[in-house]
Amino acid sequence: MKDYLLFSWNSIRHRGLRSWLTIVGIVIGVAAIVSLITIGQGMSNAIEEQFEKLGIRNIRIVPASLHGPPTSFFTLPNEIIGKTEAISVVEYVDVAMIESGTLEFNKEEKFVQVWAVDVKLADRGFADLDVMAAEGRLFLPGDSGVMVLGSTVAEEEFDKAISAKNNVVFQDNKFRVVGVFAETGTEIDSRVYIPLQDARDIFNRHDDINAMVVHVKDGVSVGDAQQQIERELLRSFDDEDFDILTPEQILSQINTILGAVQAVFAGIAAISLLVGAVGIMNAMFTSVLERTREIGVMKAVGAKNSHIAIIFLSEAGIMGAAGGAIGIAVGTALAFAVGFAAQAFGFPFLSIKVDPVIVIAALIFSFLVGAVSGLLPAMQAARLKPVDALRYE
Amino acid sequence: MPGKSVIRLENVWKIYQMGEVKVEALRGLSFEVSSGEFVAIEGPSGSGKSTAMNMIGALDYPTKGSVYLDDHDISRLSESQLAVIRGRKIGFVFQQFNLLANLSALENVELPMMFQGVAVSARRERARQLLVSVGLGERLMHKPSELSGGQQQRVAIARALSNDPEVLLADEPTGNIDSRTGREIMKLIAGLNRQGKTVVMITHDRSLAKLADRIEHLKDGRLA
Repeated sequence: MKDYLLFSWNSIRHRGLRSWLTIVGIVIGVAAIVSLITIGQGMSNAIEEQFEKLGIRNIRIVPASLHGPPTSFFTLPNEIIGKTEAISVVEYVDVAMIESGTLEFNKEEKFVQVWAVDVKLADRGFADLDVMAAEGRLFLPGDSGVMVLGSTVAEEEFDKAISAKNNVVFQDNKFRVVGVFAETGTEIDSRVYIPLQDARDIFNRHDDINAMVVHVKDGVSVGDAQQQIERELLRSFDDEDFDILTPEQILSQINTILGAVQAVFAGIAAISLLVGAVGIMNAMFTSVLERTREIGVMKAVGAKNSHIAIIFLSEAGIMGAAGGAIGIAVGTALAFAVGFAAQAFGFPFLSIKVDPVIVIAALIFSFLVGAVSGLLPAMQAARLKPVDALRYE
Repeated sequence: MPGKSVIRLENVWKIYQMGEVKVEALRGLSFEVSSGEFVAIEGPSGSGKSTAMNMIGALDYPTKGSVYLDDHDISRLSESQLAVIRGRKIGFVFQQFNLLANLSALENVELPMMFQGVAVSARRERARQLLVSVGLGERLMHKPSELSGGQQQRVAIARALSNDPEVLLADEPTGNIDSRTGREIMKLIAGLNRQGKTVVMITHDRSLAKLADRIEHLKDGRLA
């Protein structure tokens, strides 16, 4: 078998540029597929990492019909807070109001997302999220007119970095920055936190909030807690008012969406691989035609049909695998480049890793694509009658 | 001192269907080649020489009649069985040399042994020896395009000998080379015959045919 692979390799090399062009067709297809899958997995890796940071024992109560991250558009009524706190499995409840507005510092204005939280509970909530102050402090009970900044907002957003004790203006209200979060690598970095009561006054929203995080008592399973909370809340509220999400559910929701997006992209990339495969087939048919006489000679000196078929099949397979190997390298490099670019632009949802399963699968797949593309030409070559092939000019 | 029968054609017909017309290339050809003989099959173009060579060389099936190799009827064998016979028992030398352009002289001579599954080291050594014996010991790594016509034909003869076949089947072996080189090639072939190799040569050239032990004249698809 090695003999035939070498033999095929020899004739691929002999065709030089034409072989490379054929291989490029496969490179493009495989690179597209590998980079898209790797980027897709990178997204899902990053999201899982974030979820791990955000705590697996927390249950979110969000406005019904909300399927992405919480926003200011969908709200929960205030009454739900007290009702939830009263449920036996609940340790305590963090609530958040989400708004956005203009932050002014050093004569510069930036549009930021603001999360307003209950200052009484903030310490526990931040501790649960594993978020600490890099500078200054976090909220204290009774705080008002103070602000804690995510690290990106503090250090990168403005020309001059904001530090604790600086004064800023948010939506025409003066705030004193009391602390800056240590970098988390999550969305928190680009948020601004203020006390809930301040937000209610500024945005004149006294009756609702946007999200709740329920911290479940130790020793209670998250699944059981979810069921009990749902049962209790349904006594007072309509099931169109809220949704209860466990981290697993959120994760699987996101992964379902990501998976669908990934499948669409991979499908598009597969089309380019198909074009590459047609390229191999075309190159092999041309090669069979050009080498008809050679095939006749090989048959005259004792090559069986199967020998001829193997020679052409391995030729196509080698071109496929070579294209695959280069395509994997290019695709992986591309994915890493996109990962770095995403990091550079402050988009944290990409954690690119090389998956050996993808590498090996892509290599085998591209060899098979090549071999399958070579099947018809190889059969045509194998079936040539020696007399006719020898006579071919 | 003819020995046992190596090749025997019995009433072989080959009829080609060319569109509406039937062409009878061989019309009941019968003849026999014995071990160690040097037989020339001579005839003008259109006499069926090439078709006869295809029959002797197990390259094609007769329409009617039988072809025996070593007293075995090979006219009903499968294609892959015929491939094995061509590889082991017959050594072809073509007018056009028919060397593989991508391969070196050495690799060309190795090729028939590769199809017989001979290990690399063994076949490389044998190919080298054969090339030395045809006077090309210095040209092992040359590609056909780097060799003269006469040298290419020597490589082809070495290739034909690689699996030590029963019969050397030469089709106009000097047809594409100048007459002086042609004589050297004929000397080489005649020498191989003297060493015991059975040779069948197909030619339209009467002067070449005279070098053989026996001349068979082919006309209109049968012996004249």
